[in-house]
Amino acid sequence: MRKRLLKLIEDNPNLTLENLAAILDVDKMTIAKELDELKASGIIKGEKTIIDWSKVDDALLKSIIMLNIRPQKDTGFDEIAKKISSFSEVETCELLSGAYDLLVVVHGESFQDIAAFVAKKLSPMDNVLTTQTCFTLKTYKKDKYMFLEDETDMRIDL
Amino acid sequence: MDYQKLCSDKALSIKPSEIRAFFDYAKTIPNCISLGVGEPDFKTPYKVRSAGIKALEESKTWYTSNSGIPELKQEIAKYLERRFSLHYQNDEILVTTGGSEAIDLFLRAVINPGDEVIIPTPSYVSYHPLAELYGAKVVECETFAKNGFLLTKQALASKITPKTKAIILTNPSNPTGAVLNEQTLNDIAEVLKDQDILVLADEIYAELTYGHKHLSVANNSILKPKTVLINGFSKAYAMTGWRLGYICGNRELIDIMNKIHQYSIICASSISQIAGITALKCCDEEINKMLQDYDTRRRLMVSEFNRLGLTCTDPQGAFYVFPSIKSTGLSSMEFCKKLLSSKKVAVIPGTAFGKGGEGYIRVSYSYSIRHLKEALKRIEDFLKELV
Repeated sequence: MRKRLLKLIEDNPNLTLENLAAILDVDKMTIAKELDELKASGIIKGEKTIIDWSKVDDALLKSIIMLNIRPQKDTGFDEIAKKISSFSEVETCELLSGAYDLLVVVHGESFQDIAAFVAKKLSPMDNVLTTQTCFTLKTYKKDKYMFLEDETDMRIDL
Repeated sequence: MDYQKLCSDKALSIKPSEIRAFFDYAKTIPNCISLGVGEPDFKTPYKVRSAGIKALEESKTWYTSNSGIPELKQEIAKYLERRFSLHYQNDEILVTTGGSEAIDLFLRAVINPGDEVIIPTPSYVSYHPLAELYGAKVVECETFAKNGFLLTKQALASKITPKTKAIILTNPSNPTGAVLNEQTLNDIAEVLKDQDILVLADEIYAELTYGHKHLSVANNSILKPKTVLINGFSKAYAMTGWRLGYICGNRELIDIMNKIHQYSIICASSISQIAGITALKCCDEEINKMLQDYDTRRRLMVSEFNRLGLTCTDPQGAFYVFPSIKSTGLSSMEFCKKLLSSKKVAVIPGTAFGKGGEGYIRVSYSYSIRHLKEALKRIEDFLKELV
């Protein structure tokens, strides 16, 4: 039930307790209790509004920064990842397998802002070996929302 | 030239769909949310699309055997056995251009002018005009919410006359979502057992049965010899545009229908048939996933309509709810027009589906939860303003 509940609310945060109870065939109190536990344990972090910034004047820029890190004895990548995550500019920070160690997503007002963040805050950090900064040019799909022209429903009513 | 004069009387007498104008108008309204579709919102499973693309690349574009590619018919037989415990031989199966052609073939094969065809209503919109087109007299047999829109023994028996040729059962039902249970099938069997009356069982929504395995009309041993079964790929595999269905029954009947089919259609699309083979062989899991999504939405809709005071029986099949709007005091068409003009939500008036539809609306849940929640919010606002 827990996994189904999480998938439902992740895609549809506006489902009410009553909706969830009907869908999962469980009483409202049980759902409410489960949601409280999920929030208390940090499994549910929060809600978010998905925005297509490219349609906004003075849009924010998005950059994806791939880092190579020197892992530390005992703490591995955790300590540096926590320090990087503590920057308010950092929206996402994830440990990766493969050629790069950390993926960091940063939004900024301009290329210069983001470049400055990388040059002055990120690169100089101890144990950051290399950074590779990419800028998002176009978003096609994000968080299951299509960012292209709205997909028209081609079906006919009958 | 006076084209009306040149057309057949029968063709002229068929009424156009009363909801067509309504939805054509709805499409012109910006930001209008429709809840009127009658097809899945899912895409055809990728492996099926790939099989279709491969068939095109390999130029498998010539006519096939009239009654269908033999391998497809074998897979249909295996599928019916596997999913519904139904047994049909290859020569008892005819592959058609959608379930729609199957309905048409049946009526053309069996109706003599003046024969009566019993149609429990509310029902799918195509049966009545097609039956009339071929000279049948349609006898509507109303079903009621208090019986879960299921046909009763008494109601059916009261409609049978010496002229009755056939009864059309939709299982699960469009528009009500009602699913025939064992008791109802036994009741129907009891009424029909000594009668030379055929049963057209349109089970195109068979895979969309919630909470229990679909029970086919043809699973009833008394009804099976009288039953001509329609099923297909449109709803189960989201293949509506591929136009692929099939009809199963006694081989003599199938031969007669095939004779008509040979002349009018020749064969169903070769590409669709090849893709259909892949669907039957490889997509049981996809059906199950779609079913779970539909079930989620079904539960949401039933719960919400009941909360809003538009009482709704719990539909066990298809992807429609059929709530009563009687508490508003409006007729079905008034409700739909007002909802459309004030809140830009388009639903189908129950009257489009025959007797018994007045006082109801058909709402499709073949949409994302996001779409449905927005529509429900607007309906709730509409109801508050009515008070």
